[in-house]
Amino acid sequence: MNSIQITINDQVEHVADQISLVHIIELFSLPELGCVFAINNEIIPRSKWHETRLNNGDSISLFQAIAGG
Amino acid sequence: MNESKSKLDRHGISDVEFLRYQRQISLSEIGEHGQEHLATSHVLIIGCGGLGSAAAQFLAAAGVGHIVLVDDDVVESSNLQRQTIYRESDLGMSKAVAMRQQLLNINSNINVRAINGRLDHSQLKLEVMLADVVLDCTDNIPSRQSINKACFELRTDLIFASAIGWQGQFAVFEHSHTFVEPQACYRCVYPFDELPSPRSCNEVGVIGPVVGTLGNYQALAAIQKLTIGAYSLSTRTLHVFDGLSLNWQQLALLQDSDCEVCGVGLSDRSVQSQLGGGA
Repeated sequence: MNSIQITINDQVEHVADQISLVHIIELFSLPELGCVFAINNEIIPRSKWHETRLNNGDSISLFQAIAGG
Repeated sequence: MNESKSKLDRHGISDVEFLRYQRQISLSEIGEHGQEHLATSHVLIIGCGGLGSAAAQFLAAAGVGHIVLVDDDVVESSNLQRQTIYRESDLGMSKAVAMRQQLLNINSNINVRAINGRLDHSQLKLEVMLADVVLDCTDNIPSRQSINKACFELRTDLIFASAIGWQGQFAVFEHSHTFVEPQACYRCVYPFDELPSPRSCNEVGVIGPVVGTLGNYQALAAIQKLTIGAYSLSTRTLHVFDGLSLNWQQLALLQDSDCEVCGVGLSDRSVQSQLGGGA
């Protein structure tokens, strides 16, 4: 399978083409609970993590939900 | 204060009020009409911490006619670093009561009601029902989820912000408006009932101007809606602030069709809950 280049919080990574967001989270042991994921500045709802596939050049932003006020 | 308020209702802007609010009345988007709308508006502010401190004083100063404050905490010395509405003499007092007094010191022509306690679901729904917009200024996920649910069910706009450390997050969920495409609610973005690590200001710390900036964004969004009648800012966007770089990142919001609050197939239940009063 072809490899693609993506970024995760601006860090360049090489992964399999059409890998799902859920697999990315597993592969890089990214935190899940309390985290919000966006691809190319669009937040991916949690129920879409399985079906969302990564393409070459995609940029993943991952940030913690915060509740303070 | 009720007297001057009702006078404004009947006769529009008085000369005294025109002078007082002229710097915003002179803006073409606002004018006297917008000022009259502010005077008859009702804003529910839940949480009287750093966000509430910042938002409430600008809304009071701008002449929002009815403000309701909700908090069950008392003012502590560690609050004074960022919750700038309070004075040292307020230490030990109920936050909602102390904030009410400070807001009336800023503007005695408005009505402010203080609720020193937490609202149960039926009280929350009643307060949301009375409000034109709701500001979520709380500091914990369970409260934020309850407020989102009540605002969704009662089709009331929710102006959300949160802050911790150097970070802030802000979004407007425009539940009062029916869009062609379903819009995200708070739970679509944050489908959690708790956060894993300590994420409260007590445990992690927070910079005063960061939480103040986010509270000011909430006040700004409310003033847009209450004067212009619509938001000029994008309501389909999560605004993420970094207080170190001073960068804002804007992320598009998408509705989660499986969301337990606003997802498809749940709308019937929401309507029933709305009609039946729930809780």
